[in-house]
Amino acid sequence: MNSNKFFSFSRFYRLLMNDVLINYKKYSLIIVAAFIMGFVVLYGSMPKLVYGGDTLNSWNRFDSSKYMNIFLASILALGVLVGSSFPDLGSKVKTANYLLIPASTFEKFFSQFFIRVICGAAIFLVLFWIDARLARAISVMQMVDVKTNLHYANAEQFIEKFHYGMIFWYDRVISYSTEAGSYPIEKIVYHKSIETWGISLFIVSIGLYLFSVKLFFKKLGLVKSILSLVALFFAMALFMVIFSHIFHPGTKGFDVSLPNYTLQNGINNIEFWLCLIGFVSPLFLLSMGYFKLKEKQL
Amino acid sequence: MINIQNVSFHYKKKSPLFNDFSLEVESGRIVGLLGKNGAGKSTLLHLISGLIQPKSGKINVNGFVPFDRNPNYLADVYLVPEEFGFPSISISTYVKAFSPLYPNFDQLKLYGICEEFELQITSNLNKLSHGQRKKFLIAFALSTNCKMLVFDEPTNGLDIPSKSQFRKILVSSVTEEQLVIISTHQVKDIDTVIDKVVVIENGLIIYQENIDEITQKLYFDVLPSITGIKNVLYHEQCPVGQKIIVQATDGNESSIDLELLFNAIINKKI
Repeated sequence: MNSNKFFSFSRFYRLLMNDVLINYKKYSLIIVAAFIMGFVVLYGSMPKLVYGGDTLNSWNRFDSSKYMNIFLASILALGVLVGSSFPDLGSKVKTANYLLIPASTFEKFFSQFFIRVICGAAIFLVLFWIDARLARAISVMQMVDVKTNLHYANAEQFIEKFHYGMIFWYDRVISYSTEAGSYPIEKIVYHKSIETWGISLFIVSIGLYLFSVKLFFKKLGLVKSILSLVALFFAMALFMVIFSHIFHPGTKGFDVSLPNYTLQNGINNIEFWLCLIGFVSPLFLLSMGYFKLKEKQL
Repeated sequence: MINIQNVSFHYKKKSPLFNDFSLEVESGRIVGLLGKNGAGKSTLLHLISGLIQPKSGKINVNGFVPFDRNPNYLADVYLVPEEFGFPSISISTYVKAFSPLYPNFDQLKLYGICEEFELQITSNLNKLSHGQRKKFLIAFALSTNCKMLVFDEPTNGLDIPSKSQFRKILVSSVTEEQLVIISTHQVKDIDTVIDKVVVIENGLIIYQENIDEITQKLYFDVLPSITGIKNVLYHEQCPVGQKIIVQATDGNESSIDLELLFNAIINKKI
């Protein structure tokens, strides 16, 4: 078997350069737009005034849960980039050109995966980190205490410093104590959580779904992929309802009976299955996409 | 070399376009693939290029099965389609992006052809006219030096001087190791460049002959009238009288009138 038929580094490099030379303006624009959008959203969400009551929850703090919400919303933008992979398969004319580019199907598939998923995700993570740090730095400088109408010296306490650990690796438990006339003092305790991994892998699965399923549609690939994803979720929900009625006869209407229990080491069964599906489905989706590209005809 | 054996093909929900189709073409030739609209010319080119897969039968081009899309095969095949699109980049960027993918690409040849076609390499491809873009695509295809060059209606959209430039450049740049297939229904545009004619109709080869063999067998002439002329195989009225095809005799040879020949074949006179 001639391995050169499937993969050659020099050919792959030439293919990547081909893509970059053709699309560098588009990619640059996406990076700049993502950076600005991320900054605007994060900066706009961060508090500029310190106010609140005696309990920590009543304070206008900006903590990991708020970062998490914005992070997940931003991932949708990455999903659009991933879902717009194989842009040359949108029309018959471009498809012919693309299929006849002298590179193997694997190289073509992997180059899109490399640019859209690997590089896209890496750049996204870096941009989000810079945006979060920059937005925090500026917000902290601008933060004013409503009681004194002066810059609040301990502003950094109200906007948590962003790091990926707070999203991917840990759950945060906060306890606090207050003294009369002072601001709350927070105590943060971290412990490992499988839930965030489950969510992350689930998001990756959705991205890879959009990446691979697009190959099945000739026109409006991204829109059709999203619609098919919605349909898939509905189908899944329907199956869960049906199975709930079969295995748990007491289930009412459209309720889902999902037994929730701890497996071991504090790992929840639903989190575990979410992780497992998230880990296995990309392997299936990627191979499905590869073979679809291989068999693609004009 | 192209070897097609017993190929059948049909598009989804459509009647068969090719049924038990076979064709063999040696390298070192410029083949004119002729046929009426819908005869299956473009489909045949797509089968040869590997864009579509035959339903049955075998296709072998230079030792490769086209639909496998082996990168070594794709690096030696260039298709100039009838309809094409370019990214919004300059000619020079396009060359930088695509030429490294063709190992035998000759940049000097490209710039030479571009000069003959009066194309500026700094021009943005999407700001050129359709004809100019087609000329660039032809120039790029010839510069790849691929073993097989496939042109689908290459003269569509070209002005009259460009058509003649195309013929001149094609003849001067193609080597003995290359095989060029030109599919067209504008037969007059290529009659001086091809050395083999293949005519297909309804998915069947109804005629295939080398040009030198045609000129040995058939004699083409223009006469004021065909009165008294015997054994006229086919004739057509023209402004100065009648264009005719008769059997060639006594080694008399004439220039081939490809359009007349094509009409004679389509009308089943030859």
